Amino acid sequence: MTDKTRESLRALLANGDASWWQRLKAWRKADAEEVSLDHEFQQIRRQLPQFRDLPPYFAWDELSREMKANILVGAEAGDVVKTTPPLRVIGWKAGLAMGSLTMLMIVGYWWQLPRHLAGVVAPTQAVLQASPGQLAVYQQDKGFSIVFEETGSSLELGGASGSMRADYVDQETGQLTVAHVYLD
Amino acid sequence: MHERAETVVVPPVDRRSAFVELHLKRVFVLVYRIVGNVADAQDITQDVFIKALQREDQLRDSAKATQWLHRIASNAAIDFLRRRGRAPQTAIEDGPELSDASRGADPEQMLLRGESHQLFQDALQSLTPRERTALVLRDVEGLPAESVAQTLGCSKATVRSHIANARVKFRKFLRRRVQVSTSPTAPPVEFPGEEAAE
Repeated sequence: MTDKTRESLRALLANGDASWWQRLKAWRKADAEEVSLDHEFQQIRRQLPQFRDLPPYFAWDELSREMKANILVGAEAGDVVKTTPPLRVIGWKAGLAMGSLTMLMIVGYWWQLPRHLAGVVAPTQAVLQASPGQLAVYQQDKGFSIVFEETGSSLELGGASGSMRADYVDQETGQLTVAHVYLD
Repeated sequence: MHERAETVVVPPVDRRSAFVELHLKRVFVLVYRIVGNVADAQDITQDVFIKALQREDQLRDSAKATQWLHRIASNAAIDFLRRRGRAPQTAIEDGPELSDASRGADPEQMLLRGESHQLFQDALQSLTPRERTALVLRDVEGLPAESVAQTLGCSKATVRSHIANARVKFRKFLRRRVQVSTSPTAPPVEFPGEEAAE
């Protein structure tokens, strides 16, 4: 144990501030030097509480009057400029619940927003659309199309309930091709 | 016959005044011991009390108020020293004029007491702010180590370390100052003109 460590240990032991571990380390009987150190630390410690107060010649009354006046004026000034604390109408739990609800409403509104803003409402009925070389049926975002050879004439019919039929006659061979597709 | 309980409503100014009166001296002395300067101790003490009065509703319990004031005052003083570095010392003798009570007192005794306080203050300045605060709270104010740890916001082991370092440095400083032999068998150091407080 170094001198510094030993001195620190005696400084605590002499005044009863050592931990149990430190007391255990110093279990052996103190030698004369340590006893002297202990006495010295105890002597200093005994003298320190007298400095809890100011020396008797100190003009405390005068200083305290000045300080007290400053403090009271400062506190009054603080009251004047003190902003009104925000009203605490609800507790934090209720606030959290209301916040969540508000967030939910915002998300819900945002979710609905494209439909509100979409200028053209998607048709709910099945629509048959014929174009050269292609026949397509669609309903809202679903649909299918048949692509066929563009040469020759064609007949395109659309069912009202999601079925589609297309007849195609080959001019050269006279062969009739019928395509009937049901939209499920 | 029914007795009607009467509630005495204390005006805020009187309540505040009483609160300041009750705690001002101890807080000022504590701050002065830490910063070592009367003017700065005065400013810091005033700030601490103004803050305290702004939350006076929470400080109705006197014991709690004392503990709270100690904590705030110690931390304010340590923060002040950290911001400013080592503060120049103003001996208490250089501060306000002598009190009326001291006039006519034994000059020799006053000198000795003045030396004693100055020696103590010089010895405190040889410590770091945290060691100084720990020593003042534990050995001068007599607070238990747990309270010192709470005030400084650290563990009890750290407080023990601060106190041990402070006492060792304090002893060395006093030995040098009173020019007593460093031999461990030399008589213990004493502050001039003061009886040991038992």
